[in-house]
Amino acid sequence: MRAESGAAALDLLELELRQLPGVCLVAFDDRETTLVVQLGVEPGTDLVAVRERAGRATGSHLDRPAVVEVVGSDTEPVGGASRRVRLLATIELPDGEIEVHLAMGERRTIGRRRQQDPATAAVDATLDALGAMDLDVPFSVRWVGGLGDGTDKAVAVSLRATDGGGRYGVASGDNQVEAAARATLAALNRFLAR
Amino acid sequence: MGDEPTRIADLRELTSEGGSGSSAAALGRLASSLATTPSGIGFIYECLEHVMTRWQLRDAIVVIDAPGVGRQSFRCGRRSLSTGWARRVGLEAAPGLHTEPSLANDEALAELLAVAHLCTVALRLDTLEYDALHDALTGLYNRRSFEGHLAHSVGRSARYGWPFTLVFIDLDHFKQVNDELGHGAGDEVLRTIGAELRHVLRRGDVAARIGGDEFALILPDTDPDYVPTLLERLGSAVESFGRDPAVGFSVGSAQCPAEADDVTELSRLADTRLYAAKAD
Repeated sequence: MRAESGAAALDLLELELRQLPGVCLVAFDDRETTLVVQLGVEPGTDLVAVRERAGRATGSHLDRPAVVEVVGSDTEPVGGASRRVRLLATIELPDGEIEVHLAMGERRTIGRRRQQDPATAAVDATLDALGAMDLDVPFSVRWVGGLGDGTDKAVAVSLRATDGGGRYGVASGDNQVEAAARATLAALNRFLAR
Repeated sequence: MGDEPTRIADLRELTSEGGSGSSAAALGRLASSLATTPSGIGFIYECLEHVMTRWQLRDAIVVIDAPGVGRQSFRCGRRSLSTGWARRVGLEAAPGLHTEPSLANDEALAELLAVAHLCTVALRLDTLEYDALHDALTGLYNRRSFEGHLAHSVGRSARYGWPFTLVFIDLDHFKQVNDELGHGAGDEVLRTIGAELRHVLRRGDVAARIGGDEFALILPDTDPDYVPTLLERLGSAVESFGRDPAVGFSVGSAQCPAEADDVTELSRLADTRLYAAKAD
């Protein structure tokens, strides 16, 4: 029986990830506090299922925060689609800090905030992560609120622009923090696409 | 498989005294270490390191396509897939060992071929071991593997006094689900429970599917509140199926060494409690 520690844990995790349908390439990108687990997948792979199962496998093998990123072959054109900002992950650290991981093309950034309300922290962290991409995002949080049945898995976000205007976004997620980050990106969708 | 004899001949030539001295020696050492490596995947990365150093490369990816493992690619050092070359080669290139810059001399190409074959063997060994120890449907450990973990845990408890809880879980009405909704629905129930167990367990806990609808857990250093909490979360997942017939589960547990300190007695105790719970 193998001892699961250090390199052995990584070997076991990688072997398990490679058992997931469609996964044919695994890489690890150590980024500050977080390990980005990259999965190369075959065309036609169920990305949602792979991401979910990979996330669970990663959590059961590693003690540190990890993010799963699924990549396909490098056919995305430069500019255009590669300018799209994607939410890679949201992480609630044990000390209450919220991390939001974004990607645009091959660039990844992390925004971090700690506030009493995790959803508001997620919105601010998303704005920080966008700023770290050198994007000029002249917005701040006006209000953040849960929607619907009280599960807080759908969140509405209102952003205030420095010129006095506003933008609104609504999104759902696996949890309140993820929903808030997605709602922030939804609010800024057209602004970012300019 | 038609060209297999030629490949073996290539490998023999490279690793025999008749081959190029330094190449044969290096490959011989690699092949020897494969026999004792604790991890086939670790071995593959060692091979890639060896190739990188020996031929002073910037990058190397081995693409494997073999029965039992399918298509799998490994990039030297588990490096990030941020470059187009890595993604293109890793996801699209033909099987073999691809390097950056590419190598053209015969000695290098022969060595790359041999290393690629060693990597294939290493991955097949790892996959065989994985399949032998895991349940294909849920991804949890299987019965054989679980028995090894249980014996190991009892041994550690006897030697170091480390306590653990053994939990047996048996699904209720599972046969009805299979009979009335089909085996596909039954498989989905098992998969979901497997996924939920992995989600709620701590790192170091062991979960296994030890029979058709039977699961077992080994929970080291268990806080008294942990087992009910865990079962509550598992219960929520089972309820979320919303099926008719409703799937439930019964549980029996025993503490080692507090209640029993050998595998047989511990298992008997947990089993008895499971069937008492099922009868209620």
